[in-house]
Amino acid sequence: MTEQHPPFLMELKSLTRSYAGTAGDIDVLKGVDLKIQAGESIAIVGPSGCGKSTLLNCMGGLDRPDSGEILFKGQSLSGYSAKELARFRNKEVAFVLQQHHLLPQCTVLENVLIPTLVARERGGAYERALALLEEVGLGERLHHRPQELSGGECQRVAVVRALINRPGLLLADEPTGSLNEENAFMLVDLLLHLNREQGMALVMVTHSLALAERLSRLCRLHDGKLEEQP
Amino acid sequence: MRKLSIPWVAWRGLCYHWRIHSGVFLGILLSTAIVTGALILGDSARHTLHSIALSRLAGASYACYYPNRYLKDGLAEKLGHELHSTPAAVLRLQAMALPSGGDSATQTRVNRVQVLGVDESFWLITGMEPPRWKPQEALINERLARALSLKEGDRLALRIVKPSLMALDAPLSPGSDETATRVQLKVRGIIADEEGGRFNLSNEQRSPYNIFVPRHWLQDLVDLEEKSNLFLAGEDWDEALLRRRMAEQWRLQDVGLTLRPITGRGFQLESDRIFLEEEVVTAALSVDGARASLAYLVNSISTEEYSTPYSFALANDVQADLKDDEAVVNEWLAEKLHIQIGDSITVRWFVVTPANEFVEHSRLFQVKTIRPMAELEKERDAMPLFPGLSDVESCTDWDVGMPMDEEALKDKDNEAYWDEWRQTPKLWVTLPAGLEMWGSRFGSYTTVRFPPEYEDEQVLEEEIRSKIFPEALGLRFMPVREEALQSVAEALDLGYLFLGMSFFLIISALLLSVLLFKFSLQQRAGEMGTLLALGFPGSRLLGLFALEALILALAGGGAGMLAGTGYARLLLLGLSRAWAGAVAGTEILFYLKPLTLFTGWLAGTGLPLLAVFRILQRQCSLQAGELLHRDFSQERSLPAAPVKSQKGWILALIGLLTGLTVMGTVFILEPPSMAPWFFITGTWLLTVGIFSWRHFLKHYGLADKTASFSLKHLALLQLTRRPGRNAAAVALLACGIFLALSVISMQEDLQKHAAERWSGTGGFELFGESTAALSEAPLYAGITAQPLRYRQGDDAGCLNLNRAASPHIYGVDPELMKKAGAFDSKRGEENIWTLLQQPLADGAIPALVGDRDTVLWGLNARAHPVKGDTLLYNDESGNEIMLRLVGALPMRLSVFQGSLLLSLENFTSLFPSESGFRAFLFDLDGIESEEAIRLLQQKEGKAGMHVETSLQRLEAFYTVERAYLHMFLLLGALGVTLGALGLGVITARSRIERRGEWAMLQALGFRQRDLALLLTVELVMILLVAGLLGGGASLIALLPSLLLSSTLPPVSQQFLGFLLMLCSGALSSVAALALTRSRSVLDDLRRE
Repeated sequence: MTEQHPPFLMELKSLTRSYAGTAGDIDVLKGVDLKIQAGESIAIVGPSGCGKSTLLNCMGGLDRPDSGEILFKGQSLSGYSAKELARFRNKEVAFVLQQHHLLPQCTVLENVLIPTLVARERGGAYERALALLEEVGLGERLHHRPQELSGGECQRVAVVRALINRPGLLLADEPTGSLNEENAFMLVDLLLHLNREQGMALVMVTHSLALAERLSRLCRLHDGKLEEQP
Repeated sequence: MRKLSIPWVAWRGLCYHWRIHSGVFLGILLSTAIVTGALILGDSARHTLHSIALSRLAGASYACYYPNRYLKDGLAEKLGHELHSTPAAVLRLQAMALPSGGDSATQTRVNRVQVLGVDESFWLITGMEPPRWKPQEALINERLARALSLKEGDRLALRIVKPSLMALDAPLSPGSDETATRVQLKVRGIIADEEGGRFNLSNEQRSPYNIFVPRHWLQDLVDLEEKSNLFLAGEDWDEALLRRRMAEQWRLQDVGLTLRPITGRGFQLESDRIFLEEEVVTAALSVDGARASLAYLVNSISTEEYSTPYSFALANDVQADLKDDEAVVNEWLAEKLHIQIGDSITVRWFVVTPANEFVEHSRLFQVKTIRPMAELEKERDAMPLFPGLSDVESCTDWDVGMPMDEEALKDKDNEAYWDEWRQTPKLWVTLPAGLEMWGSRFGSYTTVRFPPEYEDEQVLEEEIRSKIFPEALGLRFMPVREEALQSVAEALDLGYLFLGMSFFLIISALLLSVLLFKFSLQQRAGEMGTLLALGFPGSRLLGLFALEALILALAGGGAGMLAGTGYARLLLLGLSRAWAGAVAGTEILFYLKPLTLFTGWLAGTGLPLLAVFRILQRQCSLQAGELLHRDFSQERSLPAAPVKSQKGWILALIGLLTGLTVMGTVFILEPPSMAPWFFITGTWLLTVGIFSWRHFLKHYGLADKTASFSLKHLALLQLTRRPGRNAAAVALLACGIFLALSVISMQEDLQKHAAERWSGTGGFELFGESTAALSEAPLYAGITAQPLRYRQGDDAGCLNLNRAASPHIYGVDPELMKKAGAFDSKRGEENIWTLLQQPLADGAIPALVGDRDTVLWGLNARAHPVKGDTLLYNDESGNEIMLRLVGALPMRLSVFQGSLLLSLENFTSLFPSESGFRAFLFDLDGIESEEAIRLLQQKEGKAGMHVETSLQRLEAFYTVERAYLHMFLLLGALGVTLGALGLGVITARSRIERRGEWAMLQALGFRQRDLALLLTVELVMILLVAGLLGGGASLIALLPSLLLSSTLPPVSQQFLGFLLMLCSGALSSVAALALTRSRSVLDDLRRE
């Protein structure tokens, strides 16, 4: 019997999320629907405070929606325990944030290998880390500390760290926010390259329409809902 | 590359964040070191006291001490007869020593020297080789050698207090003026403390002044042939065996009792102490036909016209039908007084009061019978032999310790009677009448006569002996080794004392290390968020950071253990030098137990580990997003808008009222120990104050103050950003201020009130002690004295680290003290001396404790008129008596520290053999102290009189307290330093967190001056609150002690100390700000 693959890598159904404020609850997400196929690249744009990061956090299992459902490979994340969610974050999705958040005490190579510490399968991780770092142009800087790298380089290390466990989905939250234009374009190039080469879906939150337009789909988060842009 | 693992990452984290971790490490190190050091100090003190206790007993496990009375040496031999070993018989006497050829008035003289006449059996117990010495050669101990600068081969002069079989106060005791025997000795060697030189039966760690001489030589010298007063048995004996052997072997003659054959009239029981003890009389009178009698020397027997002086009288059953107001006289007396049957005669005699005053009493008798002289031949034989009376040729040679009329002694008729009839009684009365007149605390009977049918002395002796328990006569071996070890076990625990005084310091160190760890975690929140985002489960994250904390704690604790041993060594060094007074100059030897190290480590690291684990748990429970994005310079639990709340004020008010109520109750009830209440109240007030401050900050906000928004208000708002952290800053500094200020307040100026009657000197200028007892207080122009009786025991004062089992006792005259108003409370309560005169229902003897410190530290007991503790004590006969602690002199420190006070009456009835007075309180009038001291020491030098000003005596006692206060002041200073350091760290942390914000303020046009004002207001608020809390808590916690001690604390020192403490906090903060000052506003802004 052949295994039935679900049609979508991830599917968001009527996602809502609100936060408590001084003047009552603030509804950030008011019913977000989204379907992501493997290997897709989606840009999410919207004004500050519209809930882009909240959406990404929910997709990555860092936050739980108030209602609605997130299906990953056909399975609902809502039934996941904290441990299963951690495993999900470790194996299936990966984050790249505006700040690289590299551990200053570890070298570039060690930072990249950090996720493997809690992975079930660690075979070949070292070689993969070397190859990926080589691929992003950091092959010469394996044993450098984050403080010795430029902002763009740090962010590239963060990308490699995100990919070390071969995730199916990369969630990038303003990855270029702290970079200059040149580095920002280079980083997006890299992400798209990896998206193509590794067949990994990419969801990127950005303010930059120019960068967003380089991705295959563009969605706008407006008034708590996601609107697909043509 | 090294294989990446969780421990490796933890290690890298530790190394990378070494700066902040160093602080945590140091905090744990410090707390562990303080705990470990204090515990090691306790162990060392205990171990040293244990060693001293064993060395001072010189191998003896049991001792039978017979003070002021003597046993036959042969009894010791009989006890060991046919057994493995023989108890050692020792003659223990008191003496004064001075270098040979010295003049006691001008040269160094050492009083209260213990002269020990010993033989081979003593050295056998000590395990030492017996010295090969000759008569007049002595071994002296190290302390005496030091005091007199003597070495082997030197000579020294000794004035040995003359022992007497009879108590010197007893009626008819010999009244020789010579109180001491002077002898020259050659120092054969100096005996080390560990080799028996420290020998002492008192539970004290201080070595006495000891001289060891050949026992037989000493016995010959003081006319106590074959008599000793101390038997010692080694560890090869046990108490039951000793008791059994004593019961089997003791004979009447061993305790100075004799069955004297009276020509043709059987045997008569007599004592070499003249008066028979009650137990002996009871046993003797149980023999069929036994009759007791009491002989006495009356001052005069007279009619209205005629009188005869100094006559022997006898109370017995001389005539069956004699009534108590009737007397039998001899023919000689009838002729002398021209009396006939039916005539009245007046008998006058002296009664010795407990104050050693001879009061003449008189009683009227009617002559019932006149006995012809021919009948009285045998009566002379039956009178007991009075030393100094019976053995002299003429009445004028009589040597009796009572005032005698020289003219009356020369009475020719009386002299003629003495020549012919010697002690033959002139007067007989009934026993009840005799007992009423002449019975005394020394005994009621002088002889017990047995019927002539008892021909066999041995049979008679056995019959009497079988009815006497040897213990009732004091023939009892006490388990001195066991008691000594018990005394050490109950001794003041220096370790816990230090731990107690380091409490706030430890808390500060822990608080600081936990705070630093928290900072480090906040700093690394992004790291934690990243790891969570990368798929680290919360438990693994917790494990990773917990591992870091554990490594840190293990390392800090390990280093703390090592530092603790160093700290203990430093404390011991301090105790051997600058603070030697705290342990009365005893050298405390370093002693380390592995268990103590572990306990110190566990206590020093356990608490911070628990706190850190809790912080970790809380932080790891946060969402990754929060960890990545949250501003940790703001407290999470803060409401977005401050809510007005009075809870902080209410909490503060409740705390304050509770503290005041507790201390008010303490002031009224006056518990024996104020220390626990001081700590409890202090901790309570500090805790409540800190929580109130935190609560206040949490709820302080703009609310309705927008209209008055100012820079100062903005500064206050800055404080509210992290109420917990600011409360911690206040806590750190307040703890230090509390401790240091309390210690400063505890210092006392003894001189200030020394002249007051209510002070610890009693208002008496001088305090004197003599080695030999004086029969009355010395009186010289301008000097008046209150004499005190003295019974040596254990020192229950601060100079003794052991727990005193049987404290020294002074016998005082309560009436004289009341009259002088001495040592009485300033508070107008009932006079404390009255308590000594009140009989107690259960037969216990009322006793006052020398001062409050003795109650607290020396006895650890309760002294109260109704609920006072009972101390079991042995009277002279070895009977257990109850001393009820009905009160204490109402001051922290008095000249009677370490002692108990009994009324003279109770003292003399319990210890009749403690003759005369050995302590004196002197009042001066028109004579300078130095002159009076010189005069008294010169005139009373033969009795070994040592006089010092009462203030000097207080100062000597206060040395201990002063040394402790100095030590604790150092701990307090450390506490303040730590508090100031903590405040600096917190200021630096806040500064770093707010760099961007400040840069922004500058960008908005704030001047340096404005920013400085912001900082100053913040800092001043913290310092003020810390000062208020620490100072206020200290004042309230100390209030009862200050009020009860009737003395004012050193206010100027307090104020100066307080200012210094606040300055140290301010300095530390300013330094922290200077160190964290930004180089560029732009950089800060960019970072922001």
